[in-house]
Amino acid sequence: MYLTPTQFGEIEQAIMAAVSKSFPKVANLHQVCYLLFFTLFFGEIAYAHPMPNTVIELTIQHKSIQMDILMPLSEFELAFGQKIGSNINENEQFRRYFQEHIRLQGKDKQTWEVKFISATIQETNSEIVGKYSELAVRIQIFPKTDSDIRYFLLFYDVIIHQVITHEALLNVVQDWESGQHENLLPIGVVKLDIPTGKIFPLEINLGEGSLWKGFKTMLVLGANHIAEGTDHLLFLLILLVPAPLLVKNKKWSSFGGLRYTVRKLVSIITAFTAGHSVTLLLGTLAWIPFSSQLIEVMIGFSILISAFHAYRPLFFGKEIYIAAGFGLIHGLAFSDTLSKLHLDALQMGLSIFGFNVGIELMQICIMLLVLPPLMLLSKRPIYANFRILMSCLAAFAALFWIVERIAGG
Amino acid sequence: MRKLVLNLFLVACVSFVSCSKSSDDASAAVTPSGTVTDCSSKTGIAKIVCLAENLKATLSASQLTTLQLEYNATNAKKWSNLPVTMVPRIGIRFGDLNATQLTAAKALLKEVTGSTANEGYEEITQLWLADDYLSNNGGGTTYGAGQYYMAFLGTPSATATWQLQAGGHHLAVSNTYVNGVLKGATPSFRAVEPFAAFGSNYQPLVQDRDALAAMFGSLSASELATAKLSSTFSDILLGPGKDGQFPNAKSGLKVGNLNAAQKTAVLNAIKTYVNDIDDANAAIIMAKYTAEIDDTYIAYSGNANLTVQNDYVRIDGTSVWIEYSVQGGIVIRNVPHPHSVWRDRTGDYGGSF
Repeated sequence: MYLTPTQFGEIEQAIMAAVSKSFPKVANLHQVCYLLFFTLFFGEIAYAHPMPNTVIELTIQHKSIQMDILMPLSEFELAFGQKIGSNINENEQFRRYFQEHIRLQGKDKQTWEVKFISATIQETNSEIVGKYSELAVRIQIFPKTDSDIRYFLLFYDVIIHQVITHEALLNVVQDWESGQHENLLPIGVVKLDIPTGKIFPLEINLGEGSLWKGFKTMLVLGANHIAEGTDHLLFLLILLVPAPLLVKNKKWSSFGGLRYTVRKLVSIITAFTAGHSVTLLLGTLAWIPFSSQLIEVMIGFSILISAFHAYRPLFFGKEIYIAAGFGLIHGLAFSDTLSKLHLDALQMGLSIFGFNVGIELMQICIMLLVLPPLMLLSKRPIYANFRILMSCLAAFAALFWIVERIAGG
Repeated sequence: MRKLVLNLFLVACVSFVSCSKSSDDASAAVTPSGTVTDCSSKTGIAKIVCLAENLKATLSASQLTTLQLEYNATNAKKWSNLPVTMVPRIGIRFGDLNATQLTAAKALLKEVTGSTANEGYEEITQLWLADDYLSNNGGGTTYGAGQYYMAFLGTPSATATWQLQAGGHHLAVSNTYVNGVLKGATPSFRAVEPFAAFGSNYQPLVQDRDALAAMFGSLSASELATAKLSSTFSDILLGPGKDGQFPNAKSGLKVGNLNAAQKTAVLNAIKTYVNDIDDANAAIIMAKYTAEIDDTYIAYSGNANLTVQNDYVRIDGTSVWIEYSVQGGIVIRNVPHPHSVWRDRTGDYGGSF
């Protein structure tokens, strides 16, 4: 089943003109992933080759597949037959090379469209060879209409058609519809079969996947984000602690009654939700640029201020605005998780929705869990001590986070 | 006052613990588990077993369990071209041995390797020097003669099946003995970095390279063209982890079509690998490879004089398989360095795995 370059050449050449989108730099994550990949999955065998092998990263989207190919420039040039200059994105021969050496075939034996998107050259590092130049090429693959995107044959011989000691390690970095969004999943190695001297196509079966499964994963991700995100959790709790209380002489006073407490809590939570929903959307869609370090530090401050508010009323009666304002900050932190994913519009929309619903559900759970004991406790004199203790603990944690996050940058 | 007493007590405790610990370590390292005997009157497998038992006798009980391992495919295949920090080896580490132990380990290695100048044991000692050179010239503690290992897979004896494994960065020795007979001397890996950037004492693979280049030097232009492969090799094909994957079809130039002098040149090149093992066994294996020489093929890629990165040579016979690949410098940048493997289509790991 070996495909000669000529056979590859027969495939889809007219699509070049259609290239419209120019993606920015290939995911920064890839170096981390690369290391992880070697240590976790391939260990010794991958280490045997003196020059790093090609690493292919697939991002499975709803209607297309993004393929990031990371290869040592020197090995590529051996196969390409010439040095490549700085303006590689304009080099017709270079772009065509990838279309001639990558072919995907769906279940119905139809050949899919392979679109060259962009290429960059960057300096990188490997434990074995030290510094070397890496060529990163982004390809976008579109199945023919109605073709099942989750099953295909990959005919790939970039570099390997000439440099037969080279191998390409194939991974899925993100498969939203199967719920995989952060782990690197090795799915095969393209290499010369030495006994036969042929490069066989890889049969790729991505298994079950659906929009519903992807949505569910995002919902769980959002819920876990609150449940496991100690800072968000603490912020919520410390905001709720003084909620059942009335203010007298600029100090927290007695329990304000059931209706008062519930109204207060619901308004605080709703305002917080409104705030973080807005920025989650804007941040994820990259409509507002922000520094995640700054946001993390500001979250520390939001906890610190809320902790003080639990000690002495700072913004009594204006909790809604404060909660909404802090919601805006927390929403940006939430969006940091989603904006790292490479998703198409449909998947992104469902992700934002699912993630937000997950956050909401977890918030409601926490409220239902915390509210009864809080109300019972707030009727007793001991509540003042409890409130002050909580406020001190939260302030201490907030200070720790602020220092840690400033230093960490 | 109370605080002072407490502190003094703590200091006393800590020093007691650390002293007792270090005395434990020291005693462990010098308590040999047996007595050393004189092997000089013995020959062949009897001498190898004697030297192996001597090495065991110099080791402590815990070192012994590190050296003496199970004979199985997993252990047998634990060799690599890479430094031991990247691919851990099994067995005892030379850097952890005292002088007596190291002498015993080297005596055994010398016995199973050849006495030809610049081959066999001499080649290995040069390879160690080269690794020391790397260590002192930017490579650091990853490299150096202390980073080599030896393991016994199965108990050394004249009647059982066992393998002597020795190696580290750029070195793999795997001798399989079955009922006192050397059934396999491969996979045998040799490489060196840098190739020839320093004194003539440190060039373990120059002789091998020269013999391989001379083999092509003896060919006519049309023979050279037949021997040339169109593919590029940035490495050897059958490195570590590529066991039993010999090509079904042979490529290049058939040695059977060559004249006597050219055939001799090919055999001389093969000798630079086979002579890495003890002289008596080398003669037996060379006789076999000589008998099979007409069905042996030679091939190259890049330049046949093997000087530039990605130059590549292969000798592929009924049994013999030799590859030599020139690669870029890793520690000493911009100076090419060779990797080389000798395998045997039926004799790798003694045919066991």
